[in-house]
This record gives sequence, structure tokens and C-alpha cells, in this order.
Amino acid sequence: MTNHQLERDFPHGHPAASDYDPASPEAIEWVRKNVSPLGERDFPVDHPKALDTAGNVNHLTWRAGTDPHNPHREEFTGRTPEQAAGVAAMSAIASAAAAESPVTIPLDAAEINAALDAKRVELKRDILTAEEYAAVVRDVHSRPRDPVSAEDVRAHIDKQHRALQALLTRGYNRNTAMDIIGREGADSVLGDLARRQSEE
Amino acid sequence: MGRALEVVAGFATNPSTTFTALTASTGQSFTVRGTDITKGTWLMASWAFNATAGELRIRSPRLHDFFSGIRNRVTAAFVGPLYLDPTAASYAQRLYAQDALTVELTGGAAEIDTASLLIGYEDLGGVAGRFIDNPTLQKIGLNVVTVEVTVTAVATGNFGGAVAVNSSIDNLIANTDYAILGGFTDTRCDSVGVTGVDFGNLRVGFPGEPSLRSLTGNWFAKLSQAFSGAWIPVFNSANKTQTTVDVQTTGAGGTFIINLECVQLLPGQVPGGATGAAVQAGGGGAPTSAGQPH
Repeated sequence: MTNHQLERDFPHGHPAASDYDPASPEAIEWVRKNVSPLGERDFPVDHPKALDTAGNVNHLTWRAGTDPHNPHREEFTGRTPEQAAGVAAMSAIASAAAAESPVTIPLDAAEINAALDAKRVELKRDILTAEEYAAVVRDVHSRPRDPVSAEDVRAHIDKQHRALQALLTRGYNRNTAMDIIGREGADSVLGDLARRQSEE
Repeated sequence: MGRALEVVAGFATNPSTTFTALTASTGQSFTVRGTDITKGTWLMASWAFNATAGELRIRSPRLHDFFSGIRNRVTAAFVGPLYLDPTAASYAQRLYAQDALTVELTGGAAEIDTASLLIGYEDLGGVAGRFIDNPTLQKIGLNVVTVEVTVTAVATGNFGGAVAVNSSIDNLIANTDYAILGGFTDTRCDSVGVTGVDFGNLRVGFPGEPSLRSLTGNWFAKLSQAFSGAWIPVFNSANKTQTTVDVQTTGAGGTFIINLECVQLLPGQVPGGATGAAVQAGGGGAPTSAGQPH
């Protein structure tokens, strides 16, 4: 009957094992795994992220959209160079044929939505065709507005800037100055300041 | 109040080392809209898409100075916000009605480089869009839905390839308001634009940077939070065929998959919208309660 040792107190190669042989492969391996002459390690020996583990990927740069294991692939899509070239060629053809976006004229959403709703009621359906849509927008734009010439707007804004500058010079902060101009009007502010200057 | 939000994009052809004034995209202008300087008008963000690194300069005698003004380095092939970054507390630059901003770019010597400004109007006379703020979104939001479209851009530096929000997947519920929180693009471009009557026929937009999904995915919600106001655009699905998505990019053009992250809203809560009176005047039996869990 053989008396096998079923459970060792220390593994082969461990310095505390009774059969410890410093020159044995097990002892050398134990030292490799457990002795760090330079100090505490960040990861154990052979950990995939340890710098001295063969095949570690610590040197890879993880750029957004790029698989560092497949740097030849197109960023964000992962397409092979052949696929990317094919798609680029196809996109170039499509881009050449694509149309620039139509220019839209700014409007009031509430006003145009009311007009569109009236059209929907008239037609008894919600989704209007592009032509019906355009007709409603055209109709809204053709309604008479308060005529204000570009020169009037420029003169009005210039006066507001002069009023703002005058109020800032008198020590008002910008928000307060804007409130005053908005409340009293640039004419009133400039008139008031002119009157004060003449009194002084 | 006539609230409006507009992304104005432009391009410079072969700017090289010379500051080159941007040509605004067709139908757009770098002159600030409006007829009254007391109405709050704000430069809320700017960004650029250069194939070669350069500088973006925004100047006006009405702003800090006309010498250098707001000048920032544009890194190559990255469409991150330059001024401002609405991901945190920020400070919007006040703009003045009718001020012609000088927007210039440097970059490559053999390419079209592009840049965009996002301008918010608190009260733009004659123009009004539909916008909500974050508390309102929390209160009347119902379900998240994504609008996905494929846009083929033009290679001229202008906005192009406009397609309706229902052009790829037509899953929006009839006569229902949707808030656009932001969106994604799968390929880099300068700007993604969304245009419709619900936005006063102006183009709202966000940077076309695919690697900043956490920024662009809820871009408008971030704007709303950073600048404490209602800057989340709302459109009604009754206008879906005329609410379009387009792209502005460099001379490379290309095909773009755009996702708009939307939230279905309770009906009738955002003023100025379509009611879809022809079919569902009462709101179509939509749910009557909404909001985030408390």
C-alpha cells in the first residue's frame, strides 16, 4: 500500500516547502511570480495588463471610433479599406448629384400652424402635399405687414446703440441700460441725456 | 415672444494661413437678425470642421474688439465646441441686431474648411419657433423615440441633402408634438441642421461630431440648462413631411446617418402647434399623464 501525500502544505518551489530546492524549475518559477525586486506591482505577473506580460496591449491607442486591433478599418464604421473605398466612390457620385437645401423664409410658427390647420380642415386630412404646404406658406408670406424700410431699421438700431453707449458711460450696467432703452425708448433716453447735459 | 434658434454655417475655400471670411451657406448670413438691440440675442456656441488645423475668429466692433475678438484654435478633423461649450455653466456672448459679424477661418491650402455659429433669439420680431425648457420637458414628456434619416451632403460647403424626418422610418404618432433633445451622426460633418415651420422656418442644429455622442445626443437640453431658457425645439408630426434634416460639411461631401433623439410630448402643451384638426382634434386619445418617475 502506497502512502501518497494528498495535500501539500506549500506548493513545489515555495521557500517554506520541506523539499525546497532553489535551483529547481518550480522554485525559479515561484520567484518569478512572487518576488518583485523593484517594489509593489500594479498587476500580478502574467496578468494581461501587466507590462511584462508577453502580448500585452498597453501600447495601443484607443482613439474614438477606431478598433486598435484593426487600425486599417475605417473609423466609426469598421469598414475594410476596400469597402470604404467603394462607399466613398458611391458617396462622391451621390454628393455630386445631391441638391443644396432649399432656402426657407423665416416665419411665425403659431401663425403658419394655424393656417396649415385651416387647410387640413378644408381638405379633411392631416398630411399635406408639398405643393399644398408651399401654397399655405406663400399665402402667409403674402399677407400685408407693417412696412419698415431697411434705412428705418438701421436708424432705429443706431439710435439704440447711441443710447446704450450713453447709459454705459453714465455708469449703468448693460442689462439695466437695455431695460431702460426697452422701456422708455432710445429717443427718450437720448433726449433726457441731452437735456441734462444742457442743464449742466 | 418670438423665440428662435439658428445655426449659421459657412465655408472657406483653401484658406491656408490667411484668415479668410466665411461664405455663409446659401440663404444664410452672419449678420445678426432682428430690429431691436434690447431683445436678448446670444452667441451660444461655435464649432468648426477643418481637414487641416486652423483658427476660427469671430469679430465685431460691437463685441470686445475688432482686432482679435473670439479666436480659437481648430484642431484637425474634430468638431468639438470652440465657444461656447454648453456642457456646463457657461456664458453666452450678447449679440446686437443687424450687426454683421466677421467670421474668419484658416486651415488647409487645398480644401474647403467649415465653421458654424449657433445664435439664440429670445424675441425675434415676426419670427417665432416652438421651444421648451428642461422642467417643461420633464413635466410633459412621454416616450423617447429616435428619428433616423440618411442624408447625402453636397460637396460645396453649403447645407444640402435635406430629407424629411419621416423619409427613412415613418413611425411618428399623428398630430403629436415631439421635442428634439439632440442627435448623432455616424460620420463627421460640420453641422447637422433641422428645419421646419415649427422652428420659425429657421435651421436649428448641432455639431456633427460622431465621437462626442454624450455632447450631441442631448445638445438642445444642454443648451437649455447652460443658458437657463427654453431652447429645446418642438415640432408636430403633422408637419413631418416638411420638417427636414440636412448636413453641412467640407468638400468631401458624403452620406450621413443622422439620429435625432426625440421625446413625445403630451398634446396641446406647447403653444403655437398644429392640432391636426382634420382628424384628431381632441388629441387622438393620447395619454393624459407624463413625466419622469419621482
